[in-house]
Amino acid sequence: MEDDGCALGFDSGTDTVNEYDYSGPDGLASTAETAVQACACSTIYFGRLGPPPANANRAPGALLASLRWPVEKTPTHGLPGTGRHKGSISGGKMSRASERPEWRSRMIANRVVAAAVVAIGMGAGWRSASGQNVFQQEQDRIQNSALHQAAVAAGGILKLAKKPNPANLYPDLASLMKASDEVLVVHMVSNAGTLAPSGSGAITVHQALVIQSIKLGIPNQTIWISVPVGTVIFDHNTRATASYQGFMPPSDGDRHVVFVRHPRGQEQNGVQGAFLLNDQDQVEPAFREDALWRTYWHVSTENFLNTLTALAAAQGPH
Amino acid sequence: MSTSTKTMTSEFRPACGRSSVVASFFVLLSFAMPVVVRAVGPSIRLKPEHLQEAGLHLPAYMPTVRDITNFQVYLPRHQEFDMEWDALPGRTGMQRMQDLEGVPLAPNFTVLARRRGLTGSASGFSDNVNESTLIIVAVTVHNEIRGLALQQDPREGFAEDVMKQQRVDYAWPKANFYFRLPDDPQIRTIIFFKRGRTAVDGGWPLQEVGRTEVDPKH
Repeated sequence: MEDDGCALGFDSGTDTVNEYDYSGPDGLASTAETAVQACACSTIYFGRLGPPPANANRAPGALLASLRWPVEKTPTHGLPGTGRHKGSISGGKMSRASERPEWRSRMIANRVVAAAVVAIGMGAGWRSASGQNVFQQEQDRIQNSALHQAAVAAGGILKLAKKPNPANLYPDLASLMKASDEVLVVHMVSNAGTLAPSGSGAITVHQALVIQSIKLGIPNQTIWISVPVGTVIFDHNTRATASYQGFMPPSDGDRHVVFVRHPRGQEQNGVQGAFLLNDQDQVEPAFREDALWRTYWHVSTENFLNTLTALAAAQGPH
Repeated sequence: MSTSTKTMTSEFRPACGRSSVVASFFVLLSFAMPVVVRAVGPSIRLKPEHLQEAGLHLPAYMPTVRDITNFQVYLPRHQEFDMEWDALPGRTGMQRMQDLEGVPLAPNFTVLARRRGLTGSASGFSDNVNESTLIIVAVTVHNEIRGLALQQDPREGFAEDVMKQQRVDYAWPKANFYFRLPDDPQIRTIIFFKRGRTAVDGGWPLQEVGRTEVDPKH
């Protein structure tokens, strides 16, 4: 079983299609451009109900923001003693401030504030350093990964294609929901392509805001969801791209119903289904190789959500 | 003793002064309120029906305006727009509102600047709408509402003579303003609405005063 972005893992049997060769149990094609894996399920998402993964720091601007904020937040403007406050004392005239009792307390308070600002700034600096370390570790992991080596061996551009194992697809919503810990309506906020936790595949990490929680009723959280498709760019000549047969990956701004469950074994977390809710209040299953796709294509969003709510109520919490 | 008295005086004088100022402010406000209410007219609460009458719709999983507010408040990213509205082209200077009765507002909205991917939520808003409210609605290609912002019409203002209980409403022909919306690539059009001064058929339909297309890749 391979943990490469598929919540239930990959079937031990892998398929080779067309003229492409497949070698290795981890889905990497060492000599061919394209390899195809069989996935054991229609479950094509990771979900993470908790803090962001380390590689989420690779999202554009995330690290930069963490480095920058202590500078912006330093409240020197308007403090007595900084020379910007009306009536403040600066340039060697601090003694005059202490002559006024109402200023003396403010001076003490401001020094406490300044000390707090310095302490917070140092703490943020330490955190930024930690962020840099995490970022560097992630970069090292990507550069030293098996996927990078495979991409180099493939001549610089590696394409991985996966396909589901039809025997293991969930036949209906009830079984899909039963296998899920949570069913969420989410809004996709941003995404970044990165290396899969296994080091042998490419995934895309999506930041998403929970609009509606159907099973547990906990909305308004930000979560991170990974899909086993995406591109990892190692350098300007080397990259690896993973695709999944029949799967339409989400874009920023899309709203989806996603089925998630907590990790099992080596898995990170799991989302077991994805259904796009388009802006005409219709459902478009993101995975189009199973029976669910034919059943729920362009069903009204309201009916679909009502069905899910009824199923959740009937099954009850885990 | 004298020192103590002096200290107390200096401590309490500002407080007394502030409270008297605050008290007089509320007294004056109580005089002014009837005039203000009469001039602005009744407020209504923005409902999905108002937006539906304008040809827009809320997603099935966010059926109320309150749902949109909650969504925007929790979104981790937003975008900002700097806009210019040249509502009365050809006119210059402050105009009395009574002189503008029946004068149509030109839909000349121009995006001066757009800043995307900003950290922090798109702000929430009060859903109270009066005739001075500018309703800003961001929609997709199929007119699904993806963002809302309600704010004071940036062109309008008023002057009051509290003693005479008189109020003069005025408007500037052109104004620059700013608002924030969710940073959603699905947003393709921003539509600006105002509410009429008088009810029509017992309701308060929104009147579109302009729209601007936005480039999702910009």
